Amino acid sequence: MEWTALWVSLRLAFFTTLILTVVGIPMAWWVATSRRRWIFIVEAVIALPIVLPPTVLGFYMLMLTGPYSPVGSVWINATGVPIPFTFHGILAASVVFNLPFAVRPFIAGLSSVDRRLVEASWSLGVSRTATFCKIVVPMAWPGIITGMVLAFAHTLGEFGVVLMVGGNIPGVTQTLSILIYDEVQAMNYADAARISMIMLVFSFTMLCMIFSVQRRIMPV
Amino acid sequence: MSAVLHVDFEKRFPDININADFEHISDGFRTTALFGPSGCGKTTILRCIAGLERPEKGRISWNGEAWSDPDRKIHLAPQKRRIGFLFQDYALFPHLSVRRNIGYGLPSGSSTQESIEDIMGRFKLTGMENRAPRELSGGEQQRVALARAVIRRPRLLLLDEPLSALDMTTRQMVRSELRSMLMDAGKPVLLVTHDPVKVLTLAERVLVINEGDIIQQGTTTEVFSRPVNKTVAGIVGTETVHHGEIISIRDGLADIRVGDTVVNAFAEEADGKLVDICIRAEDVSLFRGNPGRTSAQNVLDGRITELISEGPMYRVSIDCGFPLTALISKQAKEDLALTPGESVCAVIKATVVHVIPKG
Repeated sequence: MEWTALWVSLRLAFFTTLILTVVGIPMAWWVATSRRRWIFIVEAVIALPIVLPPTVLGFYMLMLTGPYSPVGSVWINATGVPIPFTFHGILAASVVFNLPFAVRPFIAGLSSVDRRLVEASWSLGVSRTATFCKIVVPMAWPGIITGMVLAFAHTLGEFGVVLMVGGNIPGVTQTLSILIYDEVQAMNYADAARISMIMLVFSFTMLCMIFSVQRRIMPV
Repeated sequence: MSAVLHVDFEKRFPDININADFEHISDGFRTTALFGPSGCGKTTILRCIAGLERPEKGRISWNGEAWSDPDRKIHLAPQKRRIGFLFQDYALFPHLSVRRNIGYGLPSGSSTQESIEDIMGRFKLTGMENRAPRELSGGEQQRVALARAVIRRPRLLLLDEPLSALDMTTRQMVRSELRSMLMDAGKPVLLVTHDPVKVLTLAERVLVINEGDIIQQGTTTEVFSRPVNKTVAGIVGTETVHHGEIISIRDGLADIRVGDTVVNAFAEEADGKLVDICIRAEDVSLFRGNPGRTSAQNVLDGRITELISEGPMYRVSIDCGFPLTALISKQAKEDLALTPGESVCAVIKATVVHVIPKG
């Protein structure tokens, strides 16, 4: 039982991190370098999930993606499956919910890149995109790694928003944290304790590994 | 064929408006310095030419090719201007080796490798290929930055405060090296500096910039010996600037009342005209007692008020009816046994007293 749930948790964390890395880095670069006055509104929207209760976000996600909503009906017509109570559904919710945990460290990392290095690269005839890949990303690497670790770890521990959007379907949407809740509800304290311990050891080991790697690769 | 950089633009900031209007014409190596106090807008002019800032009005062009023309919505990207920009702190990529810094952005291939080897030899960098920029001395970092800019065969080199990231002793060593490397590159150069010594050692022409405006331009000798007004005189570091009044003029040689004394200088102004006189400290000779017969028109008796040691030189302040500064060697100071309070005789040729009409 718990191995199935662990697999769901790991898949969810992996894909959430992947999507947030691909989407979040350009978004963070845009926020970090924009001179527009209203950019603080974008920052506030990105940070919103930090302060919003997961149930509130889950409720809105449910409303937005339900089969009778515009987004939900387009999706169901295109794919034949609904968004809520599926793996795609919790993945979408998880991406939105983890946005600040990935994007804010990305912004911090990208902002720390010396603007002059970017300008030096442009002056040397290298395009904006190539400059971003060759100079900005390698220089912002500690911030990018931090964002990815936080997004991954935070997704593993996610509970409220997944429960709201995904329910509790073993093998599909039942993650480890939801399984623990289930076991406690059923008074299976021994199982809950074992799974909790698995999660604690797993999360701690992973964080230790990544932080030690980050220390070694940190440039300059 | 000579290359012409034509610059005539306006760039506005909340606290300063920058107006740049000049031409840089060259057949190969030729250096113009943009010179002025910090915050005067000289770096912004350089950044506009590089395409890193956008002027609001006017035009920047290179041999007739428009680089910037906001009225026609033209802004050529920095990548397409083919310029070499040397940043103040060099902006070497810290995560790349010396070789990869120099070859940055060049197509990989044997010809690129060859030109990297070649330029590293010319810039005395052989053996440092795999070092990181932080393992280099300041002078070496500058050579890498210049090699990186020059290897792409830029049409124009822009230098922002070169040498200022170095300490005093290294700076003196690297200064002559920089000039020979620039001559070697054979490109037109615009350099920004606030240091008059760099202007005199590195540039042929100078634009004096103050509060966003070019207030004088010309050859370095012309600008440094004949500032058009008191502000330029202050910026180029003319030590003695004092107001005076022309009493009479005979054959172009004027008697000018300055403080409590009369100074002779060449002037074209009518009688009664108010002027400023400028005298560079190195043009003043000092004597103890009477200098005897001399061709110099100004022999002024005075008293030493202050002596300041500046390396191998002494800066001597004298009260000779008006405050005058002289620059003499340490040896001369000892030979004449100069101390504050002593009386001394200052000798100045009429030809080195520069007269600026007031108003």
